[in-house]
Amino acid sequence: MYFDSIAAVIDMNGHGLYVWLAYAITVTLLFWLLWAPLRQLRVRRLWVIAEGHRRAVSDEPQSESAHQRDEADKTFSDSSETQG
Amino acid sequence: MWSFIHKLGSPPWFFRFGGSLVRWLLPLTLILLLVGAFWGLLVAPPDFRQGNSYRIIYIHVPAAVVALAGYYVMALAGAISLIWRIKMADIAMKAAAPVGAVLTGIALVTGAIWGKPTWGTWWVWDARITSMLILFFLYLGVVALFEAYENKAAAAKACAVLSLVGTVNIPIIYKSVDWWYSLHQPASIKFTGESAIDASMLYPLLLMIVAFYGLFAVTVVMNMRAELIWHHRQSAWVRQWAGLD
Repeated sequence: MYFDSIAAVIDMNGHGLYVWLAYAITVTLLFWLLWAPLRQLRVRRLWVIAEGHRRAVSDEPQSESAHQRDEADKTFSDSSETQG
Repeated sequence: MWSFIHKLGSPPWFFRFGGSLVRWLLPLTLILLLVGAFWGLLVAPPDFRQGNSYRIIYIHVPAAVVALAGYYVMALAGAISLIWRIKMADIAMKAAAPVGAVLTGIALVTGAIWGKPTWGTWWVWDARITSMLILFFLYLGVVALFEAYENKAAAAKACAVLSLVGTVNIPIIYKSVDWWYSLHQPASIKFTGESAIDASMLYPLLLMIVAFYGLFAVTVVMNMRAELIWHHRQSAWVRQWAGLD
């Protein structure tokens, strides 16, 4: 370990602001790179489920899945609101 | 070997293969990133001339190296798409473009932050930095072109042509620090001959480069999986994956 205290790590002999700013921006962007496809996959899975229920209902108008479809639609529209 | 390449073109097979690849490569990459960042930030000695500001090298160089390599991956996918019309190549191209754009953005921003204490300026219009900025716009261009077309086949064709034309920029970026004298330092790591960087600083840098390659692979595969689901949303295997059938 090169530094002997937490304060020295933060300050980095006056270069702390530059170093930590660069790392903070990088971590944020890398986190977004990993999070975006995971969220996209989740939203699309909900779409497929909602579409499946919609089809099931149109095939069998009296089926009990109408309630499930409404639930899936609601979940999908909730999550798609946050879609960028 | 050929059967493996053949299987890569099958959407359900690739989706499953990509899922298991991400499951072990993602934790491994995160561990490498943490170890590399800890080593570079806290363990490696400071540079005798730049002091501690040089520690930005552990994110700046890996991001730039992988952004350049990633462009070749995208252009290769573009060439495969143009020649053999393989849909999976279109999807790979579309998946690689935003990752490359973010990595180039990281290289540019961290370079600017590093430039302030080292050169006394955030930005100079020198050959290396300007050609990296062009790379950033090329990546953004591919992302925008994919979105601009309604017809996906036409979009893929336009993006493939743009990617291939843009490869001209890559050797220029590599050689810019040798061809033009500027503020940007020449390469410290050399494949032939001795590197101009001490082993205590070199090892964490190599570790971070490997980690960034891993991150590129993981994020491209994750983007491809999300894209595959959307392309095949009417297929039985997607409905099965969603838990419908």
